[in-house]
Amino acid sequence: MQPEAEGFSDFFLHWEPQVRRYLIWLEGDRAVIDDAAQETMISAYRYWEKVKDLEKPSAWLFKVAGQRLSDAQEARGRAGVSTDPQDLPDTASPGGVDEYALRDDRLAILDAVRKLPPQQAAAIALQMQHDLPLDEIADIMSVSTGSVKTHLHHARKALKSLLVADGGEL
Amino acid sequence: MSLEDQLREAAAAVNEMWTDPDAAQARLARLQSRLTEEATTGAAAVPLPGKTSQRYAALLFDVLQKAETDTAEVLETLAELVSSDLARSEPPIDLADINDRLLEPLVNVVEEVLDDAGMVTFARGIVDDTWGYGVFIWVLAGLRLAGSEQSARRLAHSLVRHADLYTVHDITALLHTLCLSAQFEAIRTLLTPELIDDIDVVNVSTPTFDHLIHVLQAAGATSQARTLKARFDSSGAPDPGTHGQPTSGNRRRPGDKEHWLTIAEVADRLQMTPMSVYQLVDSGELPAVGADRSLRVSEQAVGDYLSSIFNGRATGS
Repeated sequence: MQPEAEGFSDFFLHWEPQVRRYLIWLEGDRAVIDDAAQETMISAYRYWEKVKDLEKPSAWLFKVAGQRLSDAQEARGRAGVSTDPQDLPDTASPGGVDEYALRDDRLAILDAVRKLPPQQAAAIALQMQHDLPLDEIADIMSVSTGSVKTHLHHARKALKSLLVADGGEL
Repeated sequence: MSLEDQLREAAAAVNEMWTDPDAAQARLARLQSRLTEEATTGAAAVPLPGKTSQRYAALLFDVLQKAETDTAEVLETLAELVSSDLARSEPPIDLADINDRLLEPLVNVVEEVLDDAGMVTFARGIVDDTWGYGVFIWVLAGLRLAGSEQSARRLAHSLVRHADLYTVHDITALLHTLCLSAQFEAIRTLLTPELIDDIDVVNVSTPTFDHLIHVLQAAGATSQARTLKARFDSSGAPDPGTHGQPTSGNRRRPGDKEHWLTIAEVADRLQMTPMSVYQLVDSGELPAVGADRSLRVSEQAVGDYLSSIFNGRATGS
């Protein structure tokens, strides 16, 4: 790495998977998740002097991750999906196991979450995946706590409708 | 299974993903190699312009207008502007960051990657609003700063050739962009007699029409502006800007109410960010009424401001 930033490697190993676990609730395209996660960590590196002193890096990271995800989705919209095998995301673990395929059934509900408006999907992801309190979710989403409650309420209502419409089990 | 159970089950499944430390180390190594490559080549991978970049583009041009071609001064002022703006969502960007990450790669891309076919694709992207006019101005500003006037001209002509102009707003936006980029040759190519004849003066609101006239005058197309104004004044058609009430003769008569614009509307018209408009108001360059952040700018003041810029540019001041 260009000048080694002290502590960044440990930060990356702890937080990069968390960022991916947030993004997978919002986006199903693995290549886009890869791009957005890497860009998020690049931002953390570029602003390391500030980020390393943050009391709660999760708020900064998830906020930036949301922005980088939008950029990556926008880029995909412009460039389309690459067919170059070199661009395929690295989905297999060293043992050759596809992490996504292994858990297809348990992850099925995420397809419905991704159909929600972005704010609702983000609120559900932050609550269910990261177990964050309402005030932290509000901080990440730059809205009031009341708005977060509203988003969560509408998200659950919409999810129930989506699942019923898809013939899903409730 | 209830919805809550399904959500909890999904969260548990996601928690089992990306737990392999070797895979995480491999991803870290990829990121490190990217950063090393960028440090070696002296420039980051070219970022695709996103919404934030488009805002920088508007800011950059804003500064260019005032600082002429002194790159260092432009970037320094830009950094001051951007740092206060970005403090809300991201850490402030620094001068070197803008220079290396945005400007130089941009010039490289246009110079080295965009061949003729690439320019056509890029121009179409601008017209289709995939990139936006802000990015176009940014690209031209970058090219001109780098002394590549010829590439800037090629790109402007490419844009004119491939623009599908359906409405007065389309024409005005393109003309405005070309004016701001000082692409006067491309403007002359664009303003064919056929295009002027095709402009529908009946179904256009007074503010939009006035904006078009100002831009035409700024572009030096005074005879076309006169022709259009005469057609507009004699059209006597209902003005959509006045709730469809029919008017005859001159649209703007003594006693007509002044049109007031919000800061957002002014920003849209000048292709600047609202923050830049506030700065113009604060500096006294753009007269406004109101207090604090509830400001209104008269349409006439916006027109006068545009004219003053372009007249200044035309005389080299």
